[in-house]
Amino acid sequence: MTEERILRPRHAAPDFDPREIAAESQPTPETSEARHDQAPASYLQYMRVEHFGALSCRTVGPFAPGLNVVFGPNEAGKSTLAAFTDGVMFGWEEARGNRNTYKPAGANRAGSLLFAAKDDDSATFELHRERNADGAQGSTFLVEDIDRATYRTMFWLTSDELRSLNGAGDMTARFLTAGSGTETSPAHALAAIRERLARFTSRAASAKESLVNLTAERDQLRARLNEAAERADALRSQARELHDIEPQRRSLNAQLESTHAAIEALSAARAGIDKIDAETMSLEAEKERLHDEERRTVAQRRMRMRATGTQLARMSGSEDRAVREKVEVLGERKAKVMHALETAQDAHRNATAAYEALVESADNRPREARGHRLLQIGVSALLFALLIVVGVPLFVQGRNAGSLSYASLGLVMVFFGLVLAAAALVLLFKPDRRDEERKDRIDEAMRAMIQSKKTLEACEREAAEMEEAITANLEKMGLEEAAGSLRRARVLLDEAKDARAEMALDRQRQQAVSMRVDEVETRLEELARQRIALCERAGAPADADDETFDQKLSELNLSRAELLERTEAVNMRWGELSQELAGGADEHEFDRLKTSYQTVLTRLREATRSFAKTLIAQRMLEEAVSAWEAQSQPAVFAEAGRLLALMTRGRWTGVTLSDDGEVRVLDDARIAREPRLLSLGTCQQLYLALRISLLISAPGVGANVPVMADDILVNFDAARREGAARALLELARVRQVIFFTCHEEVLDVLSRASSKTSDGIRSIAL
Amino acid sequence: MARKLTFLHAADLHIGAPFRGMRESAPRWADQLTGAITDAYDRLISTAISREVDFVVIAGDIFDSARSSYADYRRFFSGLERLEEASIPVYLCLGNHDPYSTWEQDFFALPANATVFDAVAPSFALYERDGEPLCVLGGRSFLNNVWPNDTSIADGITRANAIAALGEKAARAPFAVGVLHTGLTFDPHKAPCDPVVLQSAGMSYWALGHIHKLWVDSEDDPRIAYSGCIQGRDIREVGRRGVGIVTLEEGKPNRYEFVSTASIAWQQLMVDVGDCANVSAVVDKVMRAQFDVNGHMRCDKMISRIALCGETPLHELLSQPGVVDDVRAALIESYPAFYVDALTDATTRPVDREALIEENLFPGSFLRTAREQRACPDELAAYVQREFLERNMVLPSEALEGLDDLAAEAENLVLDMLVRGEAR
Repeated sequence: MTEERILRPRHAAPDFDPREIAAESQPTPETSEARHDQAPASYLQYMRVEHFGALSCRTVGPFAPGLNVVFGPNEAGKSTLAAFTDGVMFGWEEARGNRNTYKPAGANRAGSLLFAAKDDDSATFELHRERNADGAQGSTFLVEDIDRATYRTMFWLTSDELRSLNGAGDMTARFLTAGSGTETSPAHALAAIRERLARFTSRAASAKESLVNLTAERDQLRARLNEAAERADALRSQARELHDIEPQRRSLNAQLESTHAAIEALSAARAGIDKIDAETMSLEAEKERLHDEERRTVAQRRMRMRATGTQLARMSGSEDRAVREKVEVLGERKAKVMHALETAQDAHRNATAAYEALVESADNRPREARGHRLLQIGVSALLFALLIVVGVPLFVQGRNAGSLSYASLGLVMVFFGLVLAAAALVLLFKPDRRDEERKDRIDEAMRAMIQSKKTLEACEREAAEMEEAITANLEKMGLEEAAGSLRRARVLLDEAKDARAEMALDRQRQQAVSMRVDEVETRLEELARQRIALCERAGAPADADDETFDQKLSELNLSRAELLERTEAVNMRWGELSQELAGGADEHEFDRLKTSYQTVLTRLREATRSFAKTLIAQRMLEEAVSAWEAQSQPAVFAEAGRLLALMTRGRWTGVTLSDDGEVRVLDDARIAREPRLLSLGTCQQLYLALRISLLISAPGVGANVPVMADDILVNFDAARREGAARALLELARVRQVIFFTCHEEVLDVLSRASSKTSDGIRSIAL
Repeated sequence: MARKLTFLHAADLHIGAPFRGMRESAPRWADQLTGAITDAYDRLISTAISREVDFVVIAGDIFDSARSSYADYRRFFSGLERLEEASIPVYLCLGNHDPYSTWEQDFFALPANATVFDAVAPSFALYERDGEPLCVLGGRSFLNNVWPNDTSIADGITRANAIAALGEKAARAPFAVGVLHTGLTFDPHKAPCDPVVLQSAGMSYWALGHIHKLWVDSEDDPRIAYSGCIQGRDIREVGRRGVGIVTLEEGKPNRYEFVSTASIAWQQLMVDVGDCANVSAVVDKVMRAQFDVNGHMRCDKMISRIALCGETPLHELLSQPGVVDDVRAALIESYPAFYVDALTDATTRPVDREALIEENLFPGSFLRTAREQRACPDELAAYVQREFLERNMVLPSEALEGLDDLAAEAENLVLDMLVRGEAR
């Protein structure tokens, strides 16, 4: 068959299965299908109630695959069993409103449905449920082809349900498309598509494509993006601020630095000036002391000079040596002269002695006279010499000193000396005849004596001249004090030399002092200059004192404190900004958010598009299903009409759909009526007929699930009950039907109807 | 001696722009993605420095309208500072994404080597090399996001006006370059202008920006050129992206040399896997297709969106949940430089639709209905619109772009469901 070839999915056997990579292993369609294939058509065999409503530890059954009638009086648990079956298959009823949830006191609802294969009773399957949260346990495939809504509408028939067919469109679609030649029923596909659509608007976290979730995520990201954008803006304006405060910071820092420097300079200057002032003070004191010393030294020198005599005091070494040499020369000459004088005196004395001896020997008459004369001559000569010796210097001295008395005294003495000498000479030259010879001899001796005398006189003159020359020379040499004495002159010279040495020492000392004074003065000048320079450098007036400095310092300190405060504030802000910006330069949160935002936008766009696609798919499928329904409906509605006619014994002959999709019922005259105009019984018969027709037409929907009918025939009259019973028997040929009733006559009707056909009926009493 | 000028022409940096069209950001790629544009920008700067160009021209859209992060903002100015260190002037024209008005706050950060063309009126600059005037530049920035229709952005940007504005010295410059962010004839909404007007302005070369792709008016002697963007940032901006090294020489035709700057290349691929026998063959084929297309780019890293197409029996397997994801994971695993952002399965099962339509079964009925609906796209669109409205949702216009493709996908979706057990 073509469709078999085309539609049966052919499972390729890939030698690479990417799912092996994936950690999670899902049940593959192959296994699911395999299980499905293994599952034979089954029917409900037993209901095993553990706890449910009033029932506890109760097993009901066995049921047969066809029609089963469960008979029991009121409160025997018929409705409870129907609710139990529903609960096991699709979940216990949750407490809502005042519905009966069949929850027993002190126990959890629990129980099982036991199914058996239609063609093999030994193959059984159990569907068990305890807690809703755990779901149905065991052979859940039994109910995979049906949902609760379909079950309740189509399989759980009560008098109330039969008044209408809720969700008729869906239900008919579900049933009419069953067995339409597809692997999956279009109704299932439609349900799947609707489920998909629901996922697009779901708020469940698992719904990845949910537009609601994606929109929420987008909005959340947008909000975070805005925050990040604000942060980026803030950083940019901070960068701006940083840029703006940078010059201020730099200038403040520079100001601060210069203030620091000024304070330092000022402090240094102050210290320097203090030092300079201290040094100046001590130097001034020293200068004073030096001046005193200098004065003292000068006075001492002057004193010495005065004591020594200017000439001697100023005499140089060579002059001294020349003077000494002269003194020596004078000394030598004087010694020669004296020697000559002494020799002349000796010669004269000898000549005189010789003469006198001659005279005495020649004239021994008065020896005494001769002696006397000799004594006279001697005394005269002695006196003469004495007078000359005293008189000449006296005269010289007197003339030199300008003293007339001394000079005249000297002159008188020389005159007397000369007179005495002349007298002596007269005495001498008084001739003695007798003594001519002797006299000659005496004359001879006298001549010798005179000659020696002359020599002596010359020597004496020479000696006197010598003395004078010495005196004059000494005077000339500034040795007046020596008063002609060479020895004294030497002593004087020695003294003068010592004095000169002393003076030289004094001069040296004085020079040293004056040099020191110069130094001190130079240093003082330098200090003064330094002070001015320091003051200038410190920006203070040249004559600034400590107080000025202190004042200035305190001013500077004050302005520094103020600057420091401002600088600190600016620096702190600068630091904050720099740090913030440095951190900001590595922040990529904004960029990541943007990317995330775009991915969400993309996913949202894709999901939106996917949603649109699914909507289109839904529309296509819905329309295709309607079209298919329209095609299938005639058969279903014809069948429903036949069943209705069967039940109403031909009073109502047909069922159709109006153009607007509403169910219409045709009477025996083929006139269409709205169902709401029908009596309650007829209405129930219409919908029963419609349901049975649909249930028969779609054996694939809820194939294993029994149809539960809860006393649905009570509103039917006897004739119609019979018809309905026949219709139910027809259904029971296709599906298992479990009919609950408390009316024996209903049981009878069903039994009768079954006996007319070959269909079996199983009756179970509660 | 013939004078010669070399400069770098870039445009459409879009710093701060996020990548658009990615479905998810893989952690391994997230950082590369966030840094891709700035990395490309750094490459631009490095190229300018290594090639020792005379100057750099950026023809608009430096920043994206999506505000840039501070990190990116800093990167841009650091780049300019690098050029300043290398003594390379930069001439900036501002585009519709970063008009003059948005820059007011940021001019302070520009280094001295950067010149921004004025927005109120054309402005001019003179480039001198060793004191010799070499090139006059003229340009005009966007003032706001929108350029008024009644004026042309190119008005007044002529060599004559440049000389008038810059003085006699400028007349000695042998070259003139115009810089504009314009839609030219490509985008009538963004300051379009007539190429003829540009050609008659006396410029040696027009450095343009806006269209994101490389375009030159003449391969042999380009006079008007778009450098394209430095990094594709949209899944549609596929292929190579970069800047131009432009050489102007007296007596010779202009030369334009493309230099790739992109960090990541984008690619959209349709891979026909009809001839693949199994899933590993699909992986191999897609891998080959990726290498083939990457061979033509000058960028190692590639992000692609790949659609598997073709009629294949593998469709059944591929459409099972997780299989395509696994294939994608295998592709991402096998070559780290390629990232597959999305792998979509557009394969179809080998179905003879015509035969199906002929059959009197539900799938045929469905295909007939689907075709009828696809024949009336307006009704389809109205229906979707209505459904969105009913759910209080806004239907973005792009959601219905290629409506027939969408309808075809919808048709395939249903057909797949009908002939397969997915609905269960």
